[in-house]
Amino acid sequence: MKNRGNCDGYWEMLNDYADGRLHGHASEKAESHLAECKQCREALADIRSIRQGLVCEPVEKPSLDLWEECYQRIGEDGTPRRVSKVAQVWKPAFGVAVASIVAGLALLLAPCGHPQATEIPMCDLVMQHAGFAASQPLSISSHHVLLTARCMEEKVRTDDDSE
Amino acid sequence: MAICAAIGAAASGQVQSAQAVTSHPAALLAKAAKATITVSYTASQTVTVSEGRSTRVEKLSIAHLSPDRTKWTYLSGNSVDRIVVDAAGSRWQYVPRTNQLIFSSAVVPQQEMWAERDLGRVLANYVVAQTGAEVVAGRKTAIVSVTPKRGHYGPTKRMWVDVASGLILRSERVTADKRIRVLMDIQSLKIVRSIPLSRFSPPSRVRKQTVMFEDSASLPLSVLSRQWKHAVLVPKTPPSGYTLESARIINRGNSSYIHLRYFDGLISLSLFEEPSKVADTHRNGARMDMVHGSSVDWTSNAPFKLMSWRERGVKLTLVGDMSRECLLGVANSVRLFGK
Repeated sequence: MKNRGNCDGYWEMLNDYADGRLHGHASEKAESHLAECKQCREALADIRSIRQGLVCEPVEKPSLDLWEECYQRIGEDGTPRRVSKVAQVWKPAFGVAVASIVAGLALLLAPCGHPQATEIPMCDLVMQHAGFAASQPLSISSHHVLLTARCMEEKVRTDDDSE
Repeated sequence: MAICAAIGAAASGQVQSAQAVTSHPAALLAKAAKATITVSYTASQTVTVSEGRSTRVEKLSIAHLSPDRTKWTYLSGNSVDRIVVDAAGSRWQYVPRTNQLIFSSAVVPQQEMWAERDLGRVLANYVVAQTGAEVVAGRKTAIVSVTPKRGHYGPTKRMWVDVASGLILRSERVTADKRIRVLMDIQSLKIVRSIPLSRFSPPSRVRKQTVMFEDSASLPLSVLSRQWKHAVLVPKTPPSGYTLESARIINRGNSSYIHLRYFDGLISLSLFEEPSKVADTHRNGARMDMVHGSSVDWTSNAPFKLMSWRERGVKLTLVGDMSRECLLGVANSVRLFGK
């Protein structure tokens, strides 16, 4: 967006709005601005489009037993230990921290691979739609042929990249 | 017979220009539609696309051998950017920049190619009139204008039709919402008797790629809905003058989608549907475009107007050249097929 004009302040809210994290007055304020500002509406559409393309398969959340297992392994030699009051606080906290790290790693390493929504690539849509236009004798065929050709090249490039 | 019927229909109530009519405008259109079947030619052409304040120009040369071989050589400055050849139902393109040759079958099945019958649909939905005469590329042309009839959504076109050959030497198209203007202009034209077939042969010693489209035939909606394991949603009220032309299931690798194509004789309106696990986005009270309670995403960087929304576990995408209001109307009329 070259000139944000009156959009300063709203621009930063767009991400939160797209995530549904705005509530109450903030949400109403954003919606009111979006109703009047085409640039921000287009930016919001772009944000949503990008996010939808990045949605992965749902990641299985670590079970509640996980930190229990971690906790048990920490003391798995079986020797009863005198647990200090400090340890009584920090051991569970450490277990939670380990569980969080494990969960975080699981999220990071989970295969995103094929997008969740099997979104049809825009190029496919354009190819299918423009392909018919290119075949019509009263249309500006050369223009539509170029559109479909570019999409075809993009499709080949995407397929190559994904292999 | 079809042309006569079309001319008859056109003759009643069509606006005629004040200038001398060398030929009825409907007959000119019919001639233009058939010209490439009988006329071989070479030409240099520019296509100017204006959208808002931005303009881009495509320069190319064309070699066409009737009835069905065409070579488009797109230029970038003084060098070749891309070569595309259509030959009898197949296509190849060569991109010198990447030394890549891509083969593919035709996107459009033969049975769905534009045919004479479609001229009748053009005349039913558009006002066709000759609005002038001009010399283009040294040849006499008749200017035929095509404007949507009242209540019909479609582009406005003007075509400069060479009176001798029927070839369209200049063409201007403005989208229904006046957003995009495309102007094709032929600078030089040479009608020839023949062109060597070797001119349409692909280059050798290149990096080859092959992309083949599955031959997905158009199906009756009742058959498609049985084969497609997800909800099939169709507009209860397509835009006036548009009829369902084809319905097909398209398989692309590990994904599938359906494509419903509506046609008015001149342009298409496409509805794509794919299964979607992403939850519908609901914005209660939001003053944004909504369809059946789901928010609409408009894509602004596509060559066509494109809107998407989700319902019933399906992501729907409408692609067409018509106003925002019209597309929203179509989207809001979408219903479960068979209900």
